[in-house]
Amino acid sequence: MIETTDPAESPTPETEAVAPVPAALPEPSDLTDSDPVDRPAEAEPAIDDAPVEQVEGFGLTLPDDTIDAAPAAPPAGEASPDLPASDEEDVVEIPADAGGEPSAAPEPDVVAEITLESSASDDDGTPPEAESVEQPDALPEHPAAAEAPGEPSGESPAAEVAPDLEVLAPVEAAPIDPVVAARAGTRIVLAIKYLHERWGGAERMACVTANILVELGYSVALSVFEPNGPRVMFELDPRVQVTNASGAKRPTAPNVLEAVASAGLLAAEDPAIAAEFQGWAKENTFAMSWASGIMALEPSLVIAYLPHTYMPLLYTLGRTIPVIASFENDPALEFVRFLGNRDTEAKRALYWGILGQAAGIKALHRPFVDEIAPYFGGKIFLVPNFTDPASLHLIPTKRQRVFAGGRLAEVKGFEVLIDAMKIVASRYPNCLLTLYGDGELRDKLAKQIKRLWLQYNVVLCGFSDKLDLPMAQSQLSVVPSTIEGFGLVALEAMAAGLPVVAFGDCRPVAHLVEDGGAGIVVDTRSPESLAAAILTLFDDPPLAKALGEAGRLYADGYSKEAYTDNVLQMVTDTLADAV
Amino acid sequence: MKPPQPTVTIGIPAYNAGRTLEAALDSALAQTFDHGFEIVIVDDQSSDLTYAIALEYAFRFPRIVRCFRQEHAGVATARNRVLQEARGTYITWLDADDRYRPFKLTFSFSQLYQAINALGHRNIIAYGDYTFNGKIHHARALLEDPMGNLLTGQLNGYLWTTLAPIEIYRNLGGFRAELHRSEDQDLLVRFLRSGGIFQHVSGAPQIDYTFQTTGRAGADVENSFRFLLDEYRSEYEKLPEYKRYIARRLWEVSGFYQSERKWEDMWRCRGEALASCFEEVFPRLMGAISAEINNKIDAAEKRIMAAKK
Repeated sequence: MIETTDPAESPTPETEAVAPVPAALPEPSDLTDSDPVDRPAEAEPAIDDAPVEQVEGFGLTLPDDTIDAAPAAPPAGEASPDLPASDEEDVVEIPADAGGEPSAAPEPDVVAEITLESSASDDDGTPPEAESVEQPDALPEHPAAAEAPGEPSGESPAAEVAPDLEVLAPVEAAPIDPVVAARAGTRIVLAIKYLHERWGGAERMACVTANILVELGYSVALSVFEPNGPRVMFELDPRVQVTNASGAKRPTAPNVLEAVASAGLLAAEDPAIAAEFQGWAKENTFAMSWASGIMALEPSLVIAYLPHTYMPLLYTLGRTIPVIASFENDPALEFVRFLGNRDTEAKRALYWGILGQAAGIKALHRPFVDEIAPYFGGKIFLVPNFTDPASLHLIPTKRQRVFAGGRLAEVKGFEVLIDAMKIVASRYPNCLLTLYGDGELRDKLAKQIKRLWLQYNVVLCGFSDKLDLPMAQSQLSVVPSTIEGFGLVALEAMAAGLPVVAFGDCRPVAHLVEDGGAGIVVDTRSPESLAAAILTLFDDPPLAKALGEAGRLYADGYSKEAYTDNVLQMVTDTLADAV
Repeated sequence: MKPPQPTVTIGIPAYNAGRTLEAALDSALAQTFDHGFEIVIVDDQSSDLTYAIALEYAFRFPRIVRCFRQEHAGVATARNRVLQEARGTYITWLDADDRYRPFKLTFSFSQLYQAINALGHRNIIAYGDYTFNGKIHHARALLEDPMGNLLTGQLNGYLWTTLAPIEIYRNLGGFRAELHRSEDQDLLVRFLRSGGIFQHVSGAPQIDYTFQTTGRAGADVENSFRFLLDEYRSEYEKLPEYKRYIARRLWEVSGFYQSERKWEDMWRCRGEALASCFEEVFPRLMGAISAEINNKIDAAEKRIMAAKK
């Protein structure tokens, strides 16, 4: 029942990619992504579903002979021939438990100072109109959402936006650190195709990272390519420029043309790969349009989130400017997203061929880095997400309480948890599962609860962004997800001092729990085995307490400071390489 | 394992509520409350499945749900039976067509408890916000003049929004059995007269109320209105626009009679309303009459047109 998975034994992406994941993958995400209100059920568009844009045809710029003449992409499973097996040195290892002091970081102390100074000088130096903007702390629940319509994003041409660069740069006033000044002139574009009214983990991390980079002094823009908005659901620093490249009139910048010219590199002599490439190109006709929108922002670096974004942008921009592909999921899932329904050798070769253009790949967990390494010759940056330490200590309660949270969706696995609670309730009749979150499965779960006569023991609490108290009032947390990108909900529970019960088949969460020694990883996905794990912890409070404490200590390593250092290192390394 | 001694009793008087009782019970069971609660259902001799449903829940949740059946005697008597059977130190209510949200007990209990400690007495009823057919109903401002707003019906006497130490009800002698409506309003007026205080419960609304006009008999509405009027005439007379309020309520009552097609009662109430406050009622009356005449003319025209064709 209690399993200790060795991450090294985990199957490679190919083997894992095959069956169990549905073609249209719902967004793996964190606790905070739960819907506050009923949102129409929408599947995360897999790349196959991406709307074909009506912009200038990508096919036209890509004559067939380009494909035929192009060199072969590296076969799947082998490192790119140009970059032979250099992965070991190139992996930038930032141990999770290093408490925010990555050994490889260039100058952690200086970094901290710069952070402070940069924010200070920004406050002094920004022009009055920027200063009058509300500070993030004082913002309402979804400030970014509120201000998004006012942003020069939406319909305005991307070209119009570029002059803002000067406005954003700190002006005279207090003496400015040269490092910070250099950063202000460094434009970083975070790209994510869909952001409008989305609550996913990747969307959240894109916004969080944008805020952090702006705080560090960089000039940051967030670029999306979607029909609406974007109405951003997460807090966003007002200094972050939000642009929607879709539907904008823009000149085609010369460097984009250059990118197109060199793009033939990605096509293959192998007719199967060429055919795959043509199919892929048809689905990504928007890529040129978006790329020129991004080029108009004059970026020094692009960080692209999720395959629907980094694939087209790597193809169009990868040769011109450094692009970091941000894996926000288990690599196996990133792979599946791309593969869609058809998993062929050629398609995989194409996938890694295009990914080979990346200046770096950002991965969320150590085992994922190891899995990507054989396929990718460039740098792999380990940048795990972070959580704030809990603000409350555990509060004793009369009822035995289990905490769970997340969007009420199939991938979160709450059905098996509710089934398990039936077994738990037979031993602990007063037990209470508080299930926070909302989503398309709400009615179905309510029916399941009623069918099992668990109305007293399982309460659907709805969406809340204040989970400190319900966590502190619980004895343990269960994360029954089948798919998570990082598993933030587990890390948050650990930070609160709760032991976590998870399933071994959800690798990010299982990794966190095992790595932190913070709970029980259940081998078989069944109500019986899950209930047994919950009962183990209910029956043995000292054990639960010890695991909870271990988790709390472990979660300390995933601090915002550590995340900031990791992001900064990733950015500075990549920029340095690009020079 | 023994259930925790109930701190709170949720009283549910039910009459022919077979269609909605289950959802109400589900919502009452699904509370995050940590201090123990019980549910007492009193069926007022329903002719539908109400009692069967209550029995099933009592069977499924023997430690939480108990149910009783009385000979048909009205809602006030059913509530008194709940008071008799309750084991909690505090009591709140739920009508079969309403729903609690998960923090109903948690929010109101913690805030009532704080108020009791702060004020040093227990003559306090917690009163929370709710949604009325989906629209949030805020009570805070209305609680600044509870008596006036309660008498005029601005502040509804909905007991399911409340949580109170149970002795308040017992000290007031329970509900007036002769009232078939407004027994809640009557009790809360008596509570205020005894020096009681309302404590507003802050936070998101925790009850969803679905209002239905069906099944309300004009005679019941009129009787309970007249009872309150007689009983608390001195309080009503303190209201600034007492006569206008009476006229408005009588007009409302006439509406119930109208939907029952009891024309004599309708006109009787309209006439009395006119006598109570001419300015309030005369425009309404003229509006109603002219609408009626216009309808008649339209119908006649249509008939003539049809005949011509």
